[in-house]
Amino acid sequence: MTEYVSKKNNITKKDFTKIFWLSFLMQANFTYMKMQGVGFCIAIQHVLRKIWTDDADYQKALQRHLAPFNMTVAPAPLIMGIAIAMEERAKEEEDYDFEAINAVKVALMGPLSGVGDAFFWGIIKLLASGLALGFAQQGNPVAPFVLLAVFNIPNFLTRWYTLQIGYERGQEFLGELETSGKLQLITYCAGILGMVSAGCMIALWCGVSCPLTFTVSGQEFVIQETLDSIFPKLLPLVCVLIGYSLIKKGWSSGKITLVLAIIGFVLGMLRIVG
Amino acid sequence: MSFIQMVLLAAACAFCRMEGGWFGECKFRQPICTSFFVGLILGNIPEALKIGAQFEMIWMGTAGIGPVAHLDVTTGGFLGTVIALVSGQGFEAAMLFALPASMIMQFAESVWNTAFGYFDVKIDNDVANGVYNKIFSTFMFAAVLRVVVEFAIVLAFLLASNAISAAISNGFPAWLENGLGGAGQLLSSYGFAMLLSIMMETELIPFFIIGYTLAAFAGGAYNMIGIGAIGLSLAWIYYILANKFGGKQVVTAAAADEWED
Repeated sequence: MTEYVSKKNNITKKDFTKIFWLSFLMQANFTYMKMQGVGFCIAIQHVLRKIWTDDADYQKALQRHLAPFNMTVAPAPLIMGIAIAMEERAKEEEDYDFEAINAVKVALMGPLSGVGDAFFWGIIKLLASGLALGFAQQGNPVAPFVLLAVFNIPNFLTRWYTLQIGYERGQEFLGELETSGKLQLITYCAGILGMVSAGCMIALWCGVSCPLTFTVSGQEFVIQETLDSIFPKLLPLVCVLIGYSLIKKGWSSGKITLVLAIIGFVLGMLRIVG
Repeated sequence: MSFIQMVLLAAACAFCRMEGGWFGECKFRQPICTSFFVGLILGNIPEALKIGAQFEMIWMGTAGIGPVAHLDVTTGGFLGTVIALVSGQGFEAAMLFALPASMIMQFAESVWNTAFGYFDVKIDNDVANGVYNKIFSTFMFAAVLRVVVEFAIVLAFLLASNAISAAISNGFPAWLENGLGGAGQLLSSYGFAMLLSIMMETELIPFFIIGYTLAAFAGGAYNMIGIGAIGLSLAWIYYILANKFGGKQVVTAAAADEWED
């Protein structure tokens, strides 16, 4: 027996599974023109066809969803679910404001990307890299599997559940979270974990050190040992904060990389850093 | 490197590079993963992973945020690891190739992003003319073409790499080695700086200090997992308190208008 998500438009559970898998392809041809727009459209195209059986309506629906689109990819199925819910409603109601569909898409992709970036780039990727790094440094082949598992379990779950939530709860969902302040609270709490991890990783993994030694009246004087006795791992912190302030000044990543490479090269040659 | 190994390497690199497009950013692009493939094909996984770990640190914070081309850590890290293994010169040699490669490929990416807009126009025209069943095939044709282009570029580089690695396999002079070592250290700090710039907010600084101090002053007694557990508890406590007593609305990264590619 076929399980229906929406009986009136003959949308089955299988259709939703298909959206889930197609959502992974969203950036397969990322361009500056539509960004992920075409990727968004192909993911829901088969459902649009079911909703709009008339060719003229179907064409308009395709054109709606071929509009430029861009957001963090993992929670994007949420918007796909919402879009489908809105298309269904549009079919039922007369004089439905079709522009609302794209307006909602655009309105949601900004804040959702903000949350998505904080979670997926800031925290989950950080944890995945951090946990895998220790293994990789020992040359343990388990490292890439740790990284992929830690990152992808949340990645897959987010895609699957946001699609269902988006369709079932529609636009209410995010609005509700936002007005109750829950969304910000969750993001902030995730930020706490992210920042604790970031601080820890800089101290554990970032290896800037000073090999300078002096011999004062027959006694060897190692700068790094003195530094460590006052403030261990001070040099990595200072370097990171300098880099951070350059980023905040709006320097491009290419420029900063180049400047750091040159300064590091000169300091390394002089044996001040190394 | 045999020709077959080069073809396999180029295919693996193209595969890792395209995960963002084909597999929804599942992070095959990270140097820890790319170096695993290099090690697998060249028959030295432990050594390749050690080099990959160092690249991972340099590029820890590089994030694909916003609709622009990003530093291509995949191709850079991949080619760098190959050179390091083949020449036997370690991470310093790897970096010498990886850094320019990642920047050149970033530039190339922005060229593709522009040029492949052609297919977007084609799809628009098709739909306007009532051809609805070609959207998917046109889209996938463009996607395959991009993989082929990546494959060809990497293969071309690998074909030239025997000469490159032969030239450097006699070792670097001391000044060059020291210099590259210093550059590597400073660049590894930049990765973390990028990471901070994604997450940092004034209200989160205390938590950064906690994580940093625990790791730096305990002399390695706490590892990532231990400190992660403490971080999780802190976040949990904050969540409980905020739910119980309300408190002001926190302004977070969620409010920032950052778009993801």
